[in-house]
This record gives sequence, structure tokens and C-alpha cells, in this order.
Amino acid sequence: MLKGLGAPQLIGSAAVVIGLGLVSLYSASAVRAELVFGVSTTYLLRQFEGLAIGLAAGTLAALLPLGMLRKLAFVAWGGTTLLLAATLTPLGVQHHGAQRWLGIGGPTFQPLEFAKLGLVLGLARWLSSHDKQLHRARISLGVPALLVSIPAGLLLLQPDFGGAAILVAFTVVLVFVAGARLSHLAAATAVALPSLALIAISEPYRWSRLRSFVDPFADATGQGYQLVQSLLAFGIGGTFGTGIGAGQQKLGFLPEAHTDFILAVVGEEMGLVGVAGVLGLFGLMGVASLGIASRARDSFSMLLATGAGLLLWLQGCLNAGVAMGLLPTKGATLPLFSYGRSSLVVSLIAIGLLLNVARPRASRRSGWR
Amino acid sequence: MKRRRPAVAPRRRARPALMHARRLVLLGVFVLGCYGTLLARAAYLQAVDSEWLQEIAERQGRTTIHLGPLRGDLLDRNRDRLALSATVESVSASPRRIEATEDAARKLARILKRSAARFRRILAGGRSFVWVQRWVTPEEADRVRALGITGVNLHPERKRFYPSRDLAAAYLGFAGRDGVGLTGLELAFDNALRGHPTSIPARRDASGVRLIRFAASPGDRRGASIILSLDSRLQHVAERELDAAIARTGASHATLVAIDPRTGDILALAERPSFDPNLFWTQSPQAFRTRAFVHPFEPGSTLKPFVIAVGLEESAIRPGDRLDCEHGSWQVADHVIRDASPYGELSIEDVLRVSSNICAAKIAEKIGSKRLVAGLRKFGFGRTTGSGYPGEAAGVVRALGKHQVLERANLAFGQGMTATALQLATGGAMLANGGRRVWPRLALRMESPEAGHALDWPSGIGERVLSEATAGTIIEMMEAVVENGTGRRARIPHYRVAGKTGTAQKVVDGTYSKDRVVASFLGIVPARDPRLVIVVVLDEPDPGYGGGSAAAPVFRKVASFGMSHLGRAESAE
Repeated sequence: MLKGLGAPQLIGSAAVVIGLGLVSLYSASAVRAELVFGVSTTYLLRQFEGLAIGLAAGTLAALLPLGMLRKLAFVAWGGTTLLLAATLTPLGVQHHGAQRWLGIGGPTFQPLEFAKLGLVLGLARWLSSHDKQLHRARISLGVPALLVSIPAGLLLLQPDFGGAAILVAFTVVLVFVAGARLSHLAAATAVALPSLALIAISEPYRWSRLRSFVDPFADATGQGYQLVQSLLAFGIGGTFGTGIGAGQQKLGFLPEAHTDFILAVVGEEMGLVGVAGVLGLFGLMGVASLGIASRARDSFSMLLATGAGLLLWLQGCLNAGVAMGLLPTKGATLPLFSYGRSSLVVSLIAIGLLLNVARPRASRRSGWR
Repeated sequence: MKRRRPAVAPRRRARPALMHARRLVLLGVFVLGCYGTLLARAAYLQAVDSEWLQEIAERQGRTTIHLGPLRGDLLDRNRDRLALSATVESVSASPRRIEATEDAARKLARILKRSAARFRRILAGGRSFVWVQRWVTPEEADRVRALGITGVNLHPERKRFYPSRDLAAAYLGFAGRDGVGLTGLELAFDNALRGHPTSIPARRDASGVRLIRFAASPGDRRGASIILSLDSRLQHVAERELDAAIARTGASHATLVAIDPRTGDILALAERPSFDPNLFWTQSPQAFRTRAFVHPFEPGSTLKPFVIAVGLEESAIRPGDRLDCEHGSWQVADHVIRDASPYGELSIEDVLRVSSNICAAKIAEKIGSKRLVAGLRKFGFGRTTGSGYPGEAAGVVRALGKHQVLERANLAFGQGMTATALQLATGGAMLANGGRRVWPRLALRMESPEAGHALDWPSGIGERVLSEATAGTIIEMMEAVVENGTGRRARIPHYRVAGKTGTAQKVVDGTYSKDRVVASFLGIVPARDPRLVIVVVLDEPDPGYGGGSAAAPVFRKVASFGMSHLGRAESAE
């Protein structure tokens, strides 16, 4: 099933997604940019900045020796975790009541995106180093739980429940692929789910968000507003959409149209055809990344490729699920699509890592350790 | 199933790559499952639920711009535009949405040329809607638009323009800021002028800002246009002459009505002092009154032709009769009636020519109270003319009892009753056109642009109210008044003019004042085949001025212009 899927499919679909993303971003952000900055292209140009930085960083990620990455994996995990911690210091920048950004003066960036990368590296390193001992829960669950709970805990302090949940999801998938025993995973899930639920309902705002997710139209002008507006955008689009640029929902009706809810703008302006195309491309990126992982020469590369793939397809899946009301509202970006330089750079690094793993290596056939 | 599982599954340990591959395939299936689910959800939203969602979205994204229709024009009889409407823009604000109030106030002040303090005050207080300035110029509107301040908006509105400014201002009236006729003809014809409001479907954004410019609005609907009977050139001359008369005589107010006796057309209706209806809100409402319609006054001797007409018609007197004018003093009941100069025996014509009150009272006595009151009412006194003009007054002509001989005598020379200038003019027109009823015709035609059809008003000539012979006799007598009587200053070279002066004392503190009078003149030209009936009324000219000295010269100027202008030169015999 994963045969024949690899770098060409990944590069092709990523290129199309980036192109569609820029078009959608401009459509979704032009009016807002005009209002806020007086220039319609402000967000678009910033996204181009991110694209340039991301291409450079992605190329670097594709060329670095995997051995070096492996050695630096825990450093990366530690460094990105420190960045997350820094958001809680006076260096953090507050938006919408949560301290999720870092910045001194100029542009801000979101450590969460980098923390995902750091977590993937750390987990890949740990799980690949101990793949002979994964039958032991301490190895397969205990340490990964530690690796995820520190950044996730920091995220909860920001507070960013959604970010923490994404990190946990990444961990579960990587541990699963690494080869942990299913009974252990099931047990861990049995413990984790109730505690996540407890965290979810412990804060009144999270609880009301969850409730509004179940029936957004019950409070269409309050808690359910954003989701309702998103659903309306999809509905307006119908099969073929209103035409690129012709949507109304981005005109202030749909908050965060250019970031977390950009898929709704695609849905409105390009219709079901456009949404199906975008979803198809993300699915293709997902299976292509798994194809690359399945041909990886060692388990670190395999886990790294799988984890990098998660940054694309799992993230995309969560974002689309939120935009269409299948998942509770959470701030997850649509990789390569949403406005946000941090997210774009990290997504491109993820692609770079996948291409690195996919790169044919003439020398040293190490095989599975 | 009691077999104890080994601590480690040997199969998995032996071939980790195979296990990984299997789990990756499982994950791949999960990926496809996830995206399959998302796709199904998208299809559900965009195909199945689409209609329902669109309906909701429609409601929030659609708005309707209600535009008052463009009010129809008021045109004079030569189709000169006296009132017209145009679309102009007004600046409004939603102060609660303005972030930098101080900055906005300063910028607006610079463009709109008012103090920043004024706009600071307007924008204070976080209301959701205020007018910043209405009816700005197109340039100002463009500059405000260019500012692009969030919370400051422009609205298309309709404004009424009166290009001739104060010309016939009171008579025309004006429409308010919302395009509704408030006074005068604007009110009288409001329904026709106003038309139906236009609704333009438009989109709006979440903050309610409309996304369609009115310039793109389809089908700019208009109200009907009204072509008035007014002649703006004659009107202009009338106003000029009234102004001159006010300057000359010191009158506080002057009125002129010019009517075509063959049709009832109101050719001129001037009220001075006037006002500029373009700025009506800055003007004194006192000036808005169209006194010719709404202000009845005691006409004095100007009423005498009508009294004599009633006498002739009722055969109470004959044209050849002679009356004793008692040498200037005659006691009626416990009151003495006086003439300006003492006269002995006078013909009926001379009674009118010298305007003897005593002989007029004797004629009234011959007619009798009942027939006199009924006769005057036939001429339209004591009831409205039926013009349809807003607030038109009827004046007062009371029924007289058997013993009200003094009241009857007063009535003979226009005291104890009131009439409007318009009533005198329509009454004069009935004498001028050979005895047929006249209704004032304010407008000739209504043209509604939508349906492309027009409506013509019928001329205002009705049933006979007195015999042609009597009417002719009265006109001849009135010619003598101008030829050789109190109305000599109304003479116009080359025309035969019929007229009657009036100098009515005003009632001040319950008695007739010697100093404060209403000077009036009723003139008809040409006397044979009359074309113009003009009534001039001057309120409270300086002492010493009367109808002959103050009002008759105004008639002469206006009527001579009117005759040449109206192109009916009729040489005198």
C-alpha cells in the first residue's frame, strides 16, 4: 500500500498546497490587512518571508547528516522546551488572553511549532535507541510520557490545551509505530483519556467551548459563533464555491479566517471541489510520508519521517476537523496554508526532514540497528 | 486460553522491520480514514446542508439600502426648474468603533472646515450612530472616504435644491432633510413628488459596513414632476417691485397675487420679505407663511366692486341710479360713518371711483343683509377657494341679523369681514372673465417619469356666478377708478386698466387705528378681454400711504411687465 509513494508525491502535493495556500491566504487576509495596515498584501508578504526562511531551513534539514540530527535530538527537544518555558517569562507576548508567542521587539514566533519538532526528534531518538526494550512499559511509555509531559505541561500553563493535546497525540502515534505493545498503549489510553477529560472540564471556558462544539447553533452569536460562521462558509461554497476572492465570510464574519479557519475560506470560495482537493493533497502527503518512513534504513529515520509526516497530515486533519465542526475548537494551524511564519517554517523543515530520510544514500548501508 | 503468554512476543522481536511496516500500513489506513471522514463531512456540509447554511448566511450578509426616491422637480410654466433633487452624501459615525477619537476629530475638522472641538463632542460617548455632518460636498465626501477611518461612514442622501433661492420661497415651500414636503406646494404635491422609496439589495460586512456604492444602484426612481402655473419671470418682477414698495412705503410685509382670469392660473404669488429655502433651518418660520393663502385681513374698499356687483345682480340698484352721499358724514345706529372727502349726490360709478363709504353703506342697505352676505359668499368670500394649498384660510363673512345695520354698513366697505389676497384675486377674476367661477389652478401638469404618462389639471373655470352684463358694468366702473379716481397710479400706457384701491384701518386694541392700515389694490388688465388680475397688499405702510399711493404703483409695474411678457399687447382705444 505504501509502495510507490515517496518523495515525488510529497514534493508535488506540497508544492500545490503551498500555491493554493498563498492564493487562499491572500483572499482571506486582504480585507483584514487593508483594514489593519492599509495595505492588502501585508499578510501575504509576511507569508512570503516565512516561505523564504522555511525553504532555507527545509533545505538545511534535508542536507544535514541524519547521524548528526540523531545526536542533537535531545538538545533540540531541550532547546524547544526551554523556548516554551520562555513564553511564561516576561519575554512572552500575550494574544487573546494566552501567552503563546515569543518575541523581543520585532516579529514574534510561536515556540509550540518548534516544540512539536523537538518532541518528534526527542521521541525518535529515545524510541530508536531502545527499540529492543519497547516491550517494557517503562521504556515505551514512561520515558515518552516524560518527554511529552514537560512541554505539554508548559503549554497548559500558557494556557494552550489544544497544543498540549496535539503533543500527546504525536507521542501516542510515534510510540505505536515504534512498536510498543498494544496492551500497554490501551492501558495508557485508559489512564490518559479521563485525565484529559478532567483537564478539559476543569476550566469553565474549555467546558463551554466543548458544549458549543456539540451544538454550535444553540449559541450562534456567543460561544458557537466562530464555528457557525465557519460552517456557513462551507455551506455558502456549495459544490463549486463563490469564486476565489468573492467570499463574504472573511469580511469580519469569520474570526481568524486567515489563520485557523482558512479551510472555511477555501470551502466558501472554491467549494467542495477545492476542499476535496486540499484534503486529498494532505492525505497524499500523509501516505507519502509513511511511504518514506517504511523505506527508511533505520528506526530513527523511520520514526523521524513518521513524526515529520505527523506535522503535516495529523495537524492538517485536526485543523480541518475543527473547521468543519468534527473536533472541538482548537488553535491548530493548517500546515503550509494558514498565515503564520513559525508554522510555515516548521512545516517546511518537516518536509526537508522527510526528503532527507528519502534521500538515497550510496554509502554505508546501516540497516536496522 | 490459559496458556501463559511469554513476556515478550518472539515474533515481534525477531522482525522489528516487519512489525514497523505493518504498523505504518495501519497508520496509513488511519490517515486515509481520517481524510475520508473529513471529505464526507465536507460533502455533507457543502452538498446536503448547503442550502440551509446558505439561507442563514444570506440573512447575515445581506442588507438593503433604502433610498428615498429622488423627489420630483417643481417647474414653472416655462419649464424652468424651481426645485430639484440630487443625491449628496452625508458623513456619519459609529463612535464606539472609532479607536483614535482625537485623531479622527482633528482630521474631520480639517476636511469639513469646522472646529475639532465640535467633532470631538460629536464623537464622544461611544454611541453607535451619530451624524457627523450632513450634505457634504462631493470633494469633502471623497476626502473623508480617503481617510478610511474605521467607524466613519458616508451615506447617500437626497437633497432638495432651490436654484432660484428666495424666488416664490413661501409659495413653493420646502422639503425637509428626509425629502418630505413640509410646507407650501412641496407639501401640497408631496405624494406625487415623493414617489416610492427604492430598495437596493447590498452586501455588508460583519460590522455593518455596506459594500455597494450607491452610484451602482439600478433604477434610480423618481417622483413625479409638477409643472406649476407660476411664471417665474413675472414672479421675479413682482418680488422686485414688492421689495421696492417696502423700501418706499415702509410696509412690514407685501403680498402680490397674479391670476389669469381665463384659466385660474396663478401666474405669480409673491411674499416679501422672503427667505432662502436652501437654508430653511436657519430662517425665521414667520417668513414661511404664504400670507396670500393663509392670512385673511379686512380688505376695506377693495371689496366695494363686489358689493356693487351684488347690488346690480340683485336689482337693488341700477347702473344709472344716483345716491346721496350725505356730504361726508352719515349716522348709522349710534355710529357715524365718514368719507375721506364729502360728496353730495353721486352716480354708482362715481361711488366706486371716489370710494364713498357712505354710499356703499346705502347700497348695502338697499341690498339687505341676507342677500349681501349670500352674494359675497357667491364670489368665494368666507370659504376657501378650493386650491388645495396647505393651510388655506377661508376668511370670515358672518351672517347678519335684522338689527345689525352697523355691521351691514361696515361690510359694504370691507370691514367686519376678512378675506385673503387670493380670495380678492379669484373674486376679481370672476368679474374679469364675465362672471364665471374661478378656482385657482396651482399646477398645470404632473409628469411621472416611471410610467411615462402625464396628467393635466383642468382649467379652474366653473359655473356662472353673475351675469355677463353685471360683470361688464363693474369692469367699466373699475376702469373709471383707474382713469379718473383713487387708482390713477395704476394707469398703464396703451392699456385699459380696471381697478379698485383699498386702505383698510387695522384694528389695534379693539378700535380702528388711524395710522396702521392695510393698503391694497385689485387690478384687471386689459379691461376688455382681461388677461391678468393682480392683487397687491401692503401691510402697515408708513402713515399717509394708502391703496392708491402705495399698492397701485406696484400693480402698474408688474402688470405692464406682465402684459409685454405675456405677449398680449392690446392697444388702448
